[in-house]
This record gives sequence, C-alpha cells and structure tokens, in this order.
Amino acid sequence: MPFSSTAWALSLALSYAALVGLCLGMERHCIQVLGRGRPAAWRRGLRIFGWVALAASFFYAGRAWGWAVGPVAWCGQLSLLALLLAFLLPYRPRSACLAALPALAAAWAACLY
Amino acid sequence: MKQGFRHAMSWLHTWGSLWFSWVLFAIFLTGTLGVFDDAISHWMREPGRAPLVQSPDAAARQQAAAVAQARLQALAPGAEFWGVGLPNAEEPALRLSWRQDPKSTFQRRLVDPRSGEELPPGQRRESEGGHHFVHLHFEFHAGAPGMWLAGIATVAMLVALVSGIAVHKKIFADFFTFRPGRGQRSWLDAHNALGVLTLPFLFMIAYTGLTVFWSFYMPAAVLARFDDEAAYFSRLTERPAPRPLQQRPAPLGPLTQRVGEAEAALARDASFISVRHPGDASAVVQVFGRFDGEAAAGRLVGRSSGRMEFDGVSGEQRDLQLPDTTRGSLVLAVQQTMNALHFVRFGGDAVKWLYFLCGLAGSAMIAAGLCLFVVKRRRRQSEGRPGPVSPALIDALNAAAVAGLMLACLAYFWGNRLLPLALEQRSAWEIRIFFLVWALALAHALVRRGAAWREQLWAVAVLGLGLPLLNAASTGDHLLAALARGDGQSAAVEAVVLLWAVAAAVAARRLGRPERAARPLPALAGEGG
Repeated sequence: MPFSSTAWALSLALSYAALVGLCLGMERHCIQVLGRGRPAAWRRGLRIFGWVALAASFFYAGRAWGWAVGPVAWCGQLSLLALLLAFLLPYRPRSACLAALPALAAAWAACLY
Repeated sequence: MKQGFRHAMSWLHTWGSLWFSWVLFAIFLTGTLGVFDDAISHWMREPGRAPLVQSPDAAARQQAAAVAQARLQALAPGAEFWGVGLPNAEEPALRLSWRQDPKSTFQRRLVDPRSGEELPPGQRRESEGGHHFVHLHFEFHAGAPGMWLAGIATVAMLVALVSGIAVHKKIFADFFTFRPGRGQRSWLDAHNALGVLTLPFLFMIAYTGLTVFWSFYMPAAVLARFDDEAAYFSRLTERPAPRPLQQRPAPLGPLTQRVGEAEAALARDASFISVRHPGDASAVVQVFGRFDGEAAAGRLVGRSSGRMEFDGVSGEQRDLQLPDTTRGSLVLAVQQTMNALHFVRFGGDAVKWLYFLCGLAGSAMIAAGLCLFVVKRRRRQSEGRPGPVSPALIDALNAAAVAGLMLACLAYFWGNRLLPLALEQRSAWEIRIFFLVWALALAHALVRRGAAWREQLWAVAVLGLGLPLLNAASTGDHLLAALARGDGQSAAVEAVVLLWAVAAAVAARRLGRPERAARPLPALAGEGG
C-alpha cells in the first residue's frame, strides 16, 4: 500500500487536537489553560470531541500507512504528541492548545489540495 | 491490605529498578541510536570522500563470485561455512567470511572484487560503525554472558513497568501533568509522564526484545524434540533439512554459475552467497536476493528477498523461494511480526524517527527515575532519616551511567575521525576508546561526586559541538556539504549530535546555577497528595 503523507499529516493533526480536547475536558487543565473552570457539560463536549477525533486519527493513520503499519505508527505518534502537549502545558498553556486549530486547518487544506 | 500491596510494589519498583537502571539506560540509549545504525555507519565511513561507485552489473557480480571462490579455497579449504557478500553501490569491496567449525568465531576479509587481493589497510576508514551500538544494546560486546545480562535487565524492566503502574495512584488524572521547578515533585511528574505516555512503546520494545532471542533464552523446548536448532529452524521455515557432513571430499561446483542461475530464477540482483561444507559431498550453496526496503515498508510479516538453494557439487536445484513470498506457519508469522516490531523493519524513515523519539523518551524516563531516587533520598537525609545507601554515591554512579555514556558515544565518533587509518585493528580501537572513556567517566564521577553531572555534561557539549569541526578538519566534510550533495543521512547525524550538545549545554548551565528555592506555581485544581 503506498504511503500517503497528506493522510498522515491529517492523522497527526487529529491526534493532537484529540489530546487537546481530552486535556481541556479535565477540570485541572481547563483551569490551567483558561484561567477558570467551565461547566461540566462544556467539558463533556470536549471529551466527546476528543474521543471522536482520536478515532478519526486512527482511521487516517490506517489510510496513510495501510492497516498493518498504521496502528503501530498511530500508537507511537500519540505517545509523542501527548508528551509534547504535557511538557508544553506548564510553559505555554494557551499556545499549546490553540496550536491544534491551525494544525488541523493546514492538514485539512493539504488533503483537499 | 491494599496499602500493603502498594507499599510492596513501591519497594519493588524503587529497589528492583535502581540496580538495573544503569544497565537499562545503556540498553535504551544504544538501542535508540541503533535505530539509525546504517546512517551512523554511513557517516563513520566517511561518505564525503568516498568516490561515487556504480552499482556493479551482473557480469561484475559473477566475476566477484569466481574471485571469492578462489580466495576462500586458498584461505579456508576445510571450513564449515563460507559467506560471500557481493559488492554493491554502498560497499564496493567483496566481503569474505568463514568459520572453521561451528564452535569457532567468524573470520573476515575484505578483498578487491576483480583482483582478489586483500585491500591494504589505510585506504578506508575501518569501523564497526553503528553496529557497535547495536552490539552493546543486546550483548555489551560480551557474547552469551552479555546477552544474559541484557535479558535479565529486560525482565527487570517489565517488572518495573507493571509495578510502576501499580504504584501510580492517578494515571489518568495525572495524564498531562508536569509541574516544573518544584524539585522532587517535578522529577516524579517527568518520570510519570514519560513512562505512562510511552507505555505502549515501552511494553512492546521490552517484550519483543526478549522474544527476538527466545531460542537462546529458552532452548529446552526445541532441544527436547530436535537434534539441533538447525533441524528445527529448517522445519519452521519450510526449507530443506541441513545435510550432515559426509567426510567424503568432492569439489565444489563453480559459484559463478550458481549466481547466474539464481539471478535468472529470482529476477533480482544477488547480494549474498553462503556455502555449507565446501569441499565435502554434502556441500550446499545458497544465493540470496537483494533486500528491497520499499517492498517491505508496508508490511509487518516480512517477505522473502528471494533465495535459491543448490547442491554444492552437482549444482542441482534443491529449493527456490521467489522474492516477495512468505513461507511457514502462523507461528513463524507471529515471530516475524515480533522481530519486525523490534527492529523497525517497516514503515521506512518516518517510523524510524517515531522509534528514535520514543526511545529517547524511554531513556529520559529511566534517567528521570534515577534523579528522582537521589533527590528523594537527599531530602530524607536532610530530614535526618538516612537510608541504606549514600545518595551521593548513587548520584555519582548515575552521572557516569547517563552523562558518562553520552560522553563515551561521542568519544567513539571522535576516535573514528582521529585514529590513523593504517592502525592495526582500527575498528576494535574505536570500541576500546568508547569503553575507556566510559570507565574514565566513572572514575571522574566517583572522585568529583557533586560536580560530576555538570562537568560531564559540559564535556558532552564540547565534544558534540566540536565534532562537526573535527569532521571538517579531518575529512573536509560538513553538514552543508552533505546537504548540498543530497546526503540526508550524514546531515542528520551531525544535526542530531549538534542538538544533543546544545541540550547538554543547557542542562549543564542549569545545574551550574545555585539551586533556587522551590517556587510555588499557580495552583492546579484537583491536585492532592
């Protein structure tokens, strides 16, 4: 199966956005990033978005690498992106989370193009 | 009951890990470098100066096979095994190897593929290259005892992973938590985050690392049912059974013809010839096809590169496996998948980088655990509760195991560029330099104690930042020149060394500052204990 770099870019961006969603869905990090808490429903919405984006990133990893290599690569990229987020949060909490948006937009644009 | 269990697990995690962490850090870091062993070898063999060689054509390979046969006949007539690495674009020399009997070690020679003359020393930069790191990774250059050490350390790693999960109170609540600048808390956060977030990788790499050598660690099952391993593996891989030595002299047929026939049947360039029992009536010749990385990239169960097997005397075909086919049962497929997972034989460079970064994270997790141990014992000591071991001693050993190893790796690269080309046993000297510097780092750490980390990290920074200069001075090659000729491997090796040196310098500078009082950060909600 030929490797598709645009599908992988989309998978990476979705993975990161999913992690940001799951992270902001936790009260502790919600306060850390936004300065104050948010209603429980708001956070649940973020968590649902996170899980859906996670599933989508898995799908695009399979599309990018084929279904033998895709799941392995997906595990690796998820670990590394989660580390990136965890170690950026204390220093640049807002930028770390906001970065998910341009990443998603760029990857989506690359796929359309 | 639950508290007792967690306490026991905590004890196991702390003390079980400590003694193996120094070994495990070495296994992890060298394994991480080993992901790119080819790129490191490429840099070490001085690509900037090597003339561009054309890939040899079929006629050149057949001629090389004839030259190899004549040379091996002269060098090792009664050997048990001959191996012939045919020249290719990356390695224009003909690589001969042989083994007198199954118990003796392999002998190796590099010869000119046309004249058969041995290549005189001093013409090339003899080096083990990146394979040095791979050998250290699984056997510490010590053969079977080294493999046992690596195996036991790996089991200790699996124990540490499981006990670490049992000890960790809030895996999911602390998933993204890292609180810097708070002493012991920060080291614990870093150790946890690095360990928890890369857990799938850590489990996979430790477990597959053990299963790769299952027949070495657990030989009983095979030996109980088969005469020897070779008989078992020929059955497992569905190949003709090995032929026992007949002690009846019979001349070996021409290897040139075997190469020609195999290349025609496989429709692929031949890369390697093996001869078992040359000169005996039981001789068997195998010709292997060239490995095609691109065809393998999308798969976990590796496919054959193609292999043709002949009766060595008559030249009769015994077996033919075409390229891109698989053989063997599900058992073999599972084993191959485990091996492919461990050796990153799939996915190309992108997945190699994922492994490299995950490997660095695992190394950092071990190093953070070692620092945490010392920070915690220091605090207890200052509270008047000294433990059974001196934190200062452990700290010195940590410095030698972490910073000292990095220093040794860089010294290995420096040795590669500094040792005279004509030196006897040049590649062995490079490795001796590696171990010598590591031993010196240990001695330095034991003498300097508190200053060991800082001084060794500065040394890493100096050696790392100096390496491109040394390379430019000794070979005239440098990062920009490598980029200009499209040599991404060499460029990446130098770029990573530079980044590493900068990171070491930053760490050394921070250690140099007087320790700041732990400052309170904006509080995180939901934080307890």
